[in-house]
Amino acid sequence: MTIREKILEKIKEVPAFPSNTTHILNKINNKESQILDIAKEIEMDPTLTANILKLANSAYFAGPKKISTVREAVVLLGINRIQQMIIASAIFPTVVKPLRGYDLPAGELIKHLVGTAIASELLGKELEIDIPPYTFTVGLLHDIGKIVLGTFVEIDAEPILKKAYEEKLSFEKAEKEILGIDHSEVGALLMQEWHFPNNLVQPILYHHDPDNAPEEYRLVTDFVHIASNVCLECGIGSGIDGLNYSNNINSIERLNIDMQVVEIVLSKLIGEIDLFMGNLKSGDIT
Amino acid sequence: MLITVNISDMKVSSNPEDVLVTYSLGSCVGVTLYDPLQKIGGLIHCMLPLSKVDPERAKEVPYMFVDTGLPLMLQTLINMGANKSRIVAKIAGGAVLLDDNGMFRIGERNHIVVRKLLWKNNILISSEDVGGTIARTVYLQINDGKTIIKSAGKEYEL
Repeated sequence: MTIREKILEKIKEVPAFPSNTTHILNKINNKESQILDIAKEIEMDPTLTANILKLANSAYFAGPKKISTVREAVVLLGINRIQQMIIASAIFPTVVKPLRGYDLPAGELIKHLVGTAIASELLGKELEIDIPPYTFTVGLLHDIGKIVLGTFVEIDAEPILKKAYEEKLSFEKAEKEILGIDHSEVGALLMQEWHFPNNLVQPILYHHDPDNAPEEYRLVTDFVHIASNVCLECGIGSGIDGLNYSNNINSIERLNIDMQVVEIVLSKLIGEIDLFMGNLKSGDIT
Repeated sequence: MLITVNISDMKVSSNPEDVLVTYSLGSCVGVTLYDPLQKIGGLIHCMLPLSKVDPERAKEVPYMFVDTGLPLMLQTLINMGANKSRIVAKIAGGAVLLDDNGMFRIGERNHIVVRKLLWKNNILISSEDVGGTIARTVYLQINDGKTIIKSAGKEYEL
């Protein structure tokens, strides 16, 4: 069995997304669903309800307002935010754990994912480009493949790193050479396994290679690509792979980003991440 | 005690039992200043070179920027009894993406501004470990001023 085949097997062993969560997400995607019905469904799941209320009351989403029911959260924050919170709540317990294969201590991957989601929104504001709400969700999920490679496979990063240094390859290209697959593809396959829609799967698959993303998802992919690099550059969730990634020149041109925009986003980013994480400590979201 | 310096943060100490640490410097720059006679030291973790990008933010979080943070650390150490002429500096971080396509270059500019400011203040830079594509964690031991770098599974003294 090749390493790639072994990894593909492992993807199937990753615990499924909570089925109730998938059900509610599908319901949200169904245009005919009534918003208050969705709120009722969420309220029937006590864990999800508790998590959503914690997130909804984080300063990033709610500001100073106190939100005490799911219904209030839905009405005040909108269904797009609820969807983002459901995804965040579903992945939190997994992504707060240490990622041995990438030498990431506990809490670092989650910071990178939240950071990328927030940086993409900050970039959108700074560039005055309207980005679809699922950009945030892609940000939260984009490196999910690292969980499979870093925890379930526990890849040995040494030969990958060696290859990356010797041939001046970016880390995901070296991954592909050594493992036969990179963390973007693993993430996309896992998302498919979990029956996630294409608008999440495709940008995850191409987040290091936005030029090849299908045209309808290219904007989102460009945003997440740059947002993730901004975080890595700044050391937010850089593990053993460090800063061994590249900015796609075409993404930079398509979005018309310059150094000043990046600096403004960075100057706001850390504070916003703190607002989002607020009192959330590992184990707080269950 | 292990004292953590967060991003855009600075800590000083004169307690020989303390070790200051800052984790995962990417393009951010970490600077240690240490007076070997008084055994007083500080560690700063700056994200951006110049405060002019967001002067309001610089007032709230001066340690975010090299040009507002570094002078403040120096002054804090002097107020604690460190002697400017004895202080030695060490610099770490300032990394850059593998191919940044000229867009960010934040690491490089952070490094330049640190060097400029230290030079202006007549402070000796005894060693530095900057650039490349690695993230670095920096420790400063207050009892002897030793600065240790951990990066990509390796550990060495700066």
